[in-house]
Amino acid sequence: MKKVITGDHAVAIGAKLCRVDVVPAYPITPQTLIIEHIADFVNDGELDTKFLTMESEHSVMSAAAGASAAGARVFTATSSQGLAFMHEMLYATAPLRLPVVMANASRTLGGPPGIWCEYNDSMGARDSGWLQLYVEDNQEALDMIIQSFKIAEDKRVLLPVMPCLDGFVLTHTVEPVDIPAQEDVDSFLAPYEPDIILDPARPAMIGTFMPAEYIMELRRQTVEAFESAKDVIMEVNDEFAKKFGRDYGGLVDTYRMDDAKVALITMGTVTSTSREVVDELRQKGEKVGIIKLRFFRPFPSGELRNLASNLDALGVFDRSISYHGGGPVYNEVRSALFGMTIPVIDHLAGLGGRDVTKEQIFKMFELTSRAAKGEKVKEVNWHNTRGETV
Amino acid sequence: VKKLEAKKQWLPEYQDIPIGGALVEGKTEAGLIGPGSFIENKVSGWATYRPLRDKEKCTMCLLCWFYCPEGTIVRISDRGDLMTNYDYCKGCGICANECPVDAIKMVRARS
Repeated sequence: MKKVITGDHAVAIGAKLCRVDVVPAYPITPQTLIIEHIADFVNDGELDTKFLTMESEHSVMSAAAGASAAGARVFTATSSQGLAFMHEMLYATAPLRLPVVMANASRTLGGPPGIWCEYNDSMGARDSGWLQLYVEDNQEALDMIIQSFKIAEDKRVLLPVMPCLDGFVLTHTVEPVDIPAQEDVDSFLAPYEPDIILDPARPAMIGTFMPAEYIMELRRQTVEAFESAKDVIMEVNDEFAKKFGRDYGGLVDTYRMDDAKVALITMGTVTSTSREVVDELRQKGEKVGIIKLRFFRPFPSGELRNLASNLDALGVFDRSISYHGGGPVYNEVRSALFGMTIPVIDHLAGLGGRDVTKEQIFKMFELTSRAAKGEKVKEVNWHNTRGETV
Repeated sequence: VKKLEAKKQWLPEYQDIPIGGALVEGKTEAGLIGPGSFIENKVSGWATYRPLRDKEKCTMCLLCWFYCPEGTIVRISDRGDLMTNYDYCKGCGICANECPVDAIKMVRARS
């Protein structure tokens, strides 16, 4: 069934289709619509869920971890300052291997305060142990909630997942979305059945004090789960594609990359704008393509090395800044491509929610193509920034 | 000179530690793990001080029994008396602090 809905509504429907048991919630723009829609579902008797109104985001993630440890399928959503406020509990959820799914509406993390799309909120959580993915449209937002639970709850993974959707660009924008049938989701996503839970009938200890004798091994174990997650993400993607007819490519998706010599790594909604730019450049005979980075954690280093092996230059779109220089995606990509000789050019754009236009993306391809021809191009470029020329 | 006994430890490899460190009741070479393990794994070695109760001063008000966070103060009903289980007392001193008649003194644990 197709419906014209916002990204937040799509996410809420995704959570409903997954029959989530517990939803601890605290409002924050531009995520609030998600928990409001879920509250509606619960109120209208469409969803049998324990909906908990918490006093802060720190409490939200504490409740989420506790409910997950008790064996519940837990969903919540947050954004920006809210994600920052629950930072401590993010670090508890992942190494305890609690498969919570939390949508993050990407938004500027102040200061200065802002409400529009920027990735500096979620990038700060990149080492918390959560899997992180970025979606391009409302359909993908809904589909990835379903896939996220299947990935998170896989026994080889058991890690929390954070699907990120662009604040306002998706959260408050309506698009036609194909809503899967409940029975199809039920047959795709089995109920969550953890091995050890907090249950007085079967006593267990989760999240107890651990001396140094154990913590290195537990960290190592979590890294293994990250590695396994790469396989699971691909399997879940393929199974989803077979069942629902939408193939997102797994860790990365590509567009017109077959004979491409210059490519741009994109994330989120900017990918859609970039597709148009690539089509126009292709009409002019330029061999360009897009690598859509879907999962930032686990980082698809091997996939990027393979894709980069036929390129003359690679551009990276960054929607957040690491103050020592380039953006976080740029730094990760350079690290992944270490030893390869192609130029990697960082393109900072859209910070604070500034529009990323086709003109800017043309410029990104132009600069990256010049680097491919051996011209000297700045490594880090600020697009559409007053006082700066690129 | 007493020969030091080799300390028994449970040191599983990373593949063998329960996922996320979640523990159910279990027996290892080093002792119990999981719920109930602290019955066997005594923690009195942590204590710097331990409580000594003056039975003459004690009024059996039971405030110490209420306040002990580890439940180490045991009521002996047939004698109407109290006893501290030093195997589990960590020497926090809450009982001495709460005693309204100063019947409990904290003394060096090893003395």
